[in-house]
Amino acid sequence: MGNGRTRLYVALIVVLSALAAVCVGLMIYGEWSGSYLLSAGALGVLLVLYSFIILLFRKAEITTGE
Amino acid sequence: MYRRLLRRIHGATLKVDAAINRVYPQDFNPLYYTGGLSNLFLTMLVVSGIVIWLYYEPSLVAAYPSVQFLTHEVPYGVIFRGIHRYAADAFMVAILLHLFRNWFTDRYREARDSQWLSGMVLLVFSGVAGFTGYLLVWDQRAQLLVSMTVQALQSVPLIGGWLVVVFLGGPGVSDATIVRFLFLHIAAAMTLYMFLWWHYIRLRHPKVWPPALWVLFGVGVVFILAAAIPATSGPPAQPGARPEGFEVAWFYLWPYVLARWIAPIWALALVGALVAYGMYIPYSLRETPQERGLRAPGQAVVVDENCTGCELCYFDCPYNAIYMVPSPYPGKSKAAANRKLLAVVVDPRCVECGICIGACPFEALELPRLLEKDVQQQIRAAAAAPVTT
Repeated sequence: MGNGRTRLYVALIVVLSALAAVCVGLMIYGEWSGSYLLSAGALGVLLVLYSFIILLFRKAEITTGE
Repeated sequence: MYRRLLRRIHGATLKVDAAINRVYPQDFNPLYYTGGLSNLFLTMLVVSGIVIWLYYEPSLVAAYPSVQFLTHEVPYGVIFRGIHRYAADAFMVAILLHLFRNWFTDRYREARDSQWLSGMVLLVFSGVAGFTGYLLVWDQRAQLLVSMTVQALQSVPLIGGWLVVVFLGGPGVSDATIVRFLFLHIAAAMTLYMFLWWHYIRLRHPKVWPPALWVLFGVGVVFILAAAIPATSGPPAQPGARPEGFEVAWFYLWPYVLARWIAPIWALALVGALVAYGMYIPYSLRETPQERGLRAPGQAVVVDENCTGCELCYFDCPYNAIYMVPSPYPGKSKAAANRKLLAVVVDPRCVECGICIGACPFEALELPRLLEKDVQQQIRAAAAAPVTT
């Protein structure tokens, strides 16, 4: 994990994880306030962020295709 | 001309593959999972459909209000409706990508016609399920679609009147009509699973599900769309009303969009002609073995005396073309002397690909017009030939 590209991927994973945490907050807020569209939209964004995190894990060679 | 065009598109498709493989790891390439993605969206449709069905009341008076109740009163009802709406669009996009990809990469001919034909049937039933879904809302768009369909069916010679009665569940629109639409919607969706079985039966390793990355992405995008652009109904259907236009839904209602310019019967005929042509595609480029040349090395043959019954070919054949049967007698070679099983090739399923030849370490399979010893001899001759620059 020494090269610059890997570090970039790891930094992106951290950023996306932080955004995912915000989405979790929005989901809870939407549920609490009865804004179901907000909750569901935040869940959708969260899932899309997770998909990018999985991709970056692979790009950073933290996971493999095996 | 057609062959040249297909070859060009084939090349372009492979270039798109290569471009995507530069961005994504190869096992994440979404174009390799268009069938699996279709399954993903079909699953979303079934799950959201069951929730919607719990609230749906199939009658002329109650259908529209029940959908409105689900949308506006039930917690997350609007989301479930949106998921059903957008997963249906995504399902059709995935199916069409799957169809065109297999067409443009030549995976529909010879022994693969079974997958192609079952795929065409799946496409038709998907269209029926999608179309009837628009009717169940029973708003003015549904009313217009029904009147256009009735007009088209009435124009069919001889059996037009009978087709209308079958479509409406009686001589005119009634509660039975809505029940009929609900039946057609659910029955078409259930039929998809039956034909999926036919679609998979000849494949040893079908990719029925996409990788986690695409599951999360696909589900996520559908959720985002359901929240950002909530699915809504038009004004309620009214007896005697003559609605003029409707929101365009290209994936399922394109024949009705065409019917703005041509008579509905011709739009219906066009759908029939496209389906008929689709069924004919696998047979449109039939080549003789001479034309296929090296691509027609003959269906695999088991060299009985060498087969050890190890099952390697059975597991490697992607087309389910090899079965293992109890061996009636021992093999002649030393390795095959104590065999319990014997490989048998199912000729109609063999695509002459040679994968089994590579899988077998005992030289127990051969392609009759491309013998392994001849290939090895050619390789040796080529290797021994002087290098010219």
